[in-house]
Amino acid sequence: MTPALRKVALSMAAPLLAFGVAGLVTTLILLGAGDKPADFWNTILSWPENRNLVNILNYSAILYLSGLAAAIGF
Amino acid sequence: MNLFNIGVEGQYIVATFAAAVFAGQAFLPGAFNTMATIFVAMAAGAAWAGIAGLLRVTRGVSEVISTIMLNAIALALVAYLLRRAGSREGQAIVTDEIPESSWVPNISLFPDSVTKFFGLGVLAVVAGVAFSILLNRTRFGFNLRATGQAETAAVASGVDVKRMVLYSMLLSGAVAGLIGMPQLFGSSHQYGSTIQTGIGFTGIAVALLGRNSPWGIAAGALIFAYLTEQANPLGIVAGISPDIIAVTQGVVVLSVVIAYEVVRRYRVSLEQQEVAQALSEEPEMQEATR
Repeated sequence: MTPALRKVALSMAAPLLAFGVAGLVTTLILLGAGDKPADFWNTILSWPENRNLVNILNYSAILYLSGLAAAIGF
Repeated sequence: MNLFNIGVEGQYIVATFAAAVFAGQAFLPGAFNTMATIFVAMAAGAAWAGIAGLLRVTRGVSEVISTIMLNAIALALVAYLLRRAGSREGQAIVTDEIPESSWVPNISLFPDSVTKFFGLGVLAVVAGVAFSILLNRTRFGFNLRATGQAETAAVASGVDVKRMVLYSMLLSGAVAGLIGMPQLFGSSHQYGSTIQTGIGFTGIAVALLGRNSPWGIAAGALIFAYLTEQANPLGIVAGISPDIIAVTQGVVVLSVVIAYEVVRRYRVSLEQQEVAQALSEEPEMQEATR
């Protein structure tokens, strides 16, 4: 693996790992509570309709400003 | 610079309220009112954050504690002032509506969609660009990063740490003041007791997820917004409470902190191996050249 490629892979590894763990924990909680994880994943991973896409963009813009405000101090 | 502004939520509430009251008075016509209001929001957010900044530099009060406490005070203070400045509308108390000439038109992204993109959503792009220029291309940004990474080195090179703390607190508050603007000018047009809360706290999670880089925060914000929006129909479609997604988001933040540390250690051990390998090869090369 070239150093540049490895750098990209390493920087992507942490977020991917985190989402994998979070997905696993969520699935376990759903199983424990007696809900069907398949229903959950089908809903979450289905492609959003256009009006939902707009909502997502609107909310991201607001969250982005909020994240930026917090990040200035970090 | 190791400054934890946990008070984004309070700054956002105070700033949005101040902005709504100011815009509702319509001191200025049309777009001038809009621009002045955005300025008022930034000033109000900065002022609220400035309290914590001043306490930190003059009295050494930890900004983590003071900003958390200021969140509670902000909520109570605005609730109190809202009864003075606002009027009752159904179940909620609201401020005077912003005159229609000052509204910012929303952008229709899809012809078949009933929802539209907030016109002031572009503030996010503007703020993102300004943030990366400030951090990477200015002396202030350099000092800010230097103070965060090695405070003693920064002090030795003449950085006034107290001033940097105060400035970054004010700046953080000013950006927090912008959070409410897209919604205020795009859909609500007034401040009401039904204002969306919790955005400031989610922002901290987004910043952690994005490692404080402008692109990282953008990715984090998109993912969190996606999860929240996609979880909405969970109750109807699958009979699962949408609250589960907040658990997922929380676990993401918790595990991303751990994952970054794991990856950092792996990277360090890789580098050590490389250096060790390079050093062990070196004597042979010297032999060969001899």
